[in-house]
Amino acid sequence: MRTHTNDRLKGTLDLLVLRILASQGRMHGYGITLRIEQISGNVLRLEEGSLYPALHRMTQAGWLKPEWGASESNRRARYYSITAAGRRQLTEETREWSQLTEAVARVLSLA
Amino acid sequence: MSWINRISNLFRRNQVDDELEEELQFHLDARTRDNLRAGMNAKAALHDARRRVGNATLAKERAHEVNIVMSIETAGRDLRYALRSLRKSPGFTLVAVLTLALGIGANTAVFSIVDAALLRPLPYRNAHRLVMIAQRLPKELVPAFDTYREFEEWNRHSSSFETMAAATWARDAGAILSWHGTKQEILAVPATVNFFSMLDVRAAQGRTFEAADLNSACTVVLAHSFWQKRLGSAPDWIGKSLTLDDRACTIVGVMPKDFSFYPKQTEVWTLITPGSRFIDKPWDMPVLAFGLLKPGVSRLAAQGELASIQSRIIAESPGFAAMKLEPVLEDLQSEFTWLTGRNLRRGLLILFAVVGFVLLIACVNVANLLLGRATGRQKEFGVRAALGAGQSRLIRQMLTESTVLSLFGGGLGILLAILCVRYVTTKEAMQLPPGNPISVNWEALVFMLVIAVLTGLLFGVVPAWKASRLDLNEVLKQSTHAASRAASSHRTSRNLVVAEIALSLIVLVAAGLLIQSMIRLTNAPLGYERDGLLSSDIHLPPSSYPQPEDSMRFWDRLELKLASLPGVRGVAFAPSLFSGGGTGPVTIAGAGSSSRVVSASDSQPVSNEYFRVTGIPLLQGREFSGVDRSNSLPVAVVNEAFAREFFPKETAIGQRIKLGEPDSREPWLTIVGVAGDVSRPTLFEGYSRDPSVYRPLRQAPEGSLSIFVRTAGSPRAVEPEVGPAVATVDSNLPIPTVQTVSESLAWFTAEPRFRAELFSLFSALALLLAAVGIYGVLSQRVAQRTHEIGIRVALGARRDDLLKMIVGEGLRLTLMGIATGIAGSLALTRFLSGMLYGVTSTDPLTVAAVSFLLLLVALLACYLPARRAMRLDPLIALRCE
Repeated sequence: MRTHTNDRLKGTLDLLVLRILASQGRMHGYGITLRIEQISGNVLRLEEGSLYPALHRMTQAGWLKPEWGASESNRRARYYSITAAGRRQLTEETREWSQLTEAVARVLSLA
Repeated sequence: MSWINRISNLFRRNQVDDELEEELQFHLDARTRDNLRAGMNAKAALHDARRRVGNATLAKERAHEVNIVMSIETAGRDLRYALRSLRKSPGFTLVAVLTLALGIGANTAVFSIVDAALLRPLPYRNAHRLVMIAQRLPKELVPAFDTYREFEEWNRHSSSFETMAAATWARDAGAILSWHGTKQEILAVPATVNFFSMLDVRAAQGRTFEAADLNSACTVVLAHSFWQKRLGSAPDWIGKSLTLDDRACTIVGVMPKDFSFYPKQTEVWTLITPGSRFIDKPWDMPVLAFGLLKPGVSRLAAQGELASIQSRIIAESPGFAAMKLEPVLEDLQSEFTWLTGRNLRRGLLILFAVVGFVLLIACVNVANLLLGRATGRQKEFGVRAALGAGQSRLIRQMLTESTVLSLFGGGLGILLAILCVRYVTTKEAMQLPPGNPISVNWEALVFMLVIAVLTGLLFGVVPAWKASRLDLNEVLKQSTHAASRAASSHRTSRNLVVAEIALSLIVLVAAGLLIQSMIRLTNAPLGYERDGLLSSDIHLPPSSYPQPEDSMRFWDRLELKLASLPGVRGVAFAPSLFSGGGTGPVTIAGAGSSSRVVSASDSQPVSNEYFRVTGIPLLQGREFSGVDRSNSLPVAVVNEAFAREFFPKETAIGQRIKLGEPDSREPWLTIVGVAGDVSRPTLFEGYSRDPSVYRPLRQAPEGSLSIFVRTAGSPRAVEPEVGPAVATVDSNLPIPTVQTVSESLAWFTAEPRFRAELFSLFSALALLLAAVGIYGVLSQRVAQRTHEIGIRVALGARRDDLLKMIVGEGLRLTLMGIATGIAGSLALTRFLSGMLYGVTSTDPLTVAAVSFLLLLVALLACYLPARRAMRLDPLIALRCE
């Protein structure tokens, strides 16, 4: 399942999720949603339904480790944390992302 | 939040999806809570939460569906899901599968028969070039035999054929087999030497006829069934001999089990040899010619050639020349079908149409069931749609489900078809043409698969389309009120009920017409009293009875013998009551020399007691009696039809007629009496009352006649005595088969009867399915309106009004269906007209009776749900979700 790496939007979502989990530790899906809104200053509005299939996919890929726990309101919620493979993927995606942005920036400055 | 709960139903079996659902629910709850905290009202908070979750998964799924691997995966998933959801409602699945099995099974069975009888070519080589050559009067439908003379001439001079052969099952077909000291008549078909080689069939043991056999006195080839039943399948019969007609006949071969030719009951084929009667008296020997046309020669061209050859020799026989018969070529397969049953082809096709109708009704029923189920599952679909299943995805899911249903139905239907076909072939319930054996073969299997998939799509597509066109908001919002929902799917199911009633009506009308026709055919007055009358055919071999006096002496002694039996009221001898004889020329003496020649039946020699014994009324004049001796004035009795047609103004009594042309040497006969007409079964499932002439047996002795015995009590008591009585008069005669006249008539009504029975069966099936359909739709409707009914009752609606409301709705549907059905049946039943006797294809009584029956059944199907509605407790109804 490497197809999504060429898919910028999905790649971006993966990158964001991995980045957030790498810095924040364990979070549930709703928490991740709020964090993305917060750090992007509401610029990146996620279609929230799409987050969960992505989480599932990243779990399947071994980047995330899910576990059930109690939420702030004491309800059962599913928490995700990043795995070692996930950190490697984060490095890789971050590098790809910077290469891309760098390339775009060059094209833009040339034009 | 009941819809969230429904999700868990949907995904109960799937751990991953289960967890996803819980996550989603948590997400929605958390977002809603935060929205509430932010100051939104409850509704807006929930709405916003849902909006944000959005439809992203839909886009994801669509993107994936481009991938072909994905769609195979999807198909597999759809299949698993379909199986799971069918397993969850076993009642529905069972009813649907059984309904479809009946429909598909009946269709597959009828297809197997149609395929073998009409579609598949005969199992002979070059079957498409094989023809049968018969003769026909201009403008007459019934073909006649050729004569051996004509065949000889065609065979010698025609250049249209690769091979020609002849065979015959005409009047003298049959031979007397001497077997372990008794004599039995068997069906022996004389054939020419190249009969088998023309068909290119080989014997299973030994060989078929060869040119060398023409030098032996008598050679036979055995049918497999004869070898099996009479000879006990012993392997060493080749080269041995059988005694047929007191001659030793060498067995050269046994045909394979699958080989058959017309007539299917043939037991042996005997070789026509140069020393036989065929060669000696070729004009007297009726045969049928068969030929393998040369490639590229048309039937019409060959027919013309045969006609011209015939015209060169016809003058040899003035009798035949006068008949002006013309040779006609028909392809062998259609001739087989025609010979087997005059209406067989059309009957089979109509039967096919009828089972098609039954399948349609079954489809409509299952579509209704699916619609009802879909209405119940709207929330499930809503949730699936909310989770991103696209419309096409939902339709595919539904269609997978319906196709799985119909394939199960088809599987079960195959079993049903095999049973049906086995019944038809082993019980010989149906006369089927020779040639291809009937079996549920690969073609039938493919046919079944195709119709199973087609019906799956047919009954699945409407419910699927309906289910997929959901207004998501509507569906998800509904939590309690069921009354308004699915108005459109209800409209669809009402239309389906109308269609179902209409289809059933058409099938019922057809069955009604056939049953009536069959009853009229069976009970038609025949012109004689058939009850308590036994008959049996006797053929006196010319070798033992060379002179007319010899056979006369035999009849006299037999009469004495039979009349002395207890329980016998009278005995007579005459030709069969069922065959009218030919249409030979009759000369009527006119005033002066103005005699005229008319066409009437051949004369029937009858014994003196004949009219009294059979109960044919004598209308004028006298019967034959002891005064009519061989040397007294030649007399005749004519029937009413004869008198009316040829002596319309004057009395027939005292008129003189001559059988044959004016210059023939036949004696002039004086008419002494007029008898009532006899209805003789025709080949076309009707009766004819043709002009006929009777002569006293003593003045026209005959060796082949039927015995008629009028019994005082039950004919069964006398029946076993007749055969031994014949044996005491001449122990060399084969023991004749004795039957009541009604029994012998049974062959004639067998096919119409079987057809009527089949149609009754299918129409009963259609009626049952329609009743289930109406009941299903109305009771679903009542269930959906439970809430509404509760409100009505609470507001004071009387139970009568409720009854009227529910039954009224059903009644409206039924009447619409009946009206549509009547229109349809008027358009379609005319295809039956050739098979009806004594009833028109638009018989208003039948249509009315059938409509009434349907109405009754429909009312019953309406009443049950209505009663349930009436008994509803308004409190429970109001609370009911």
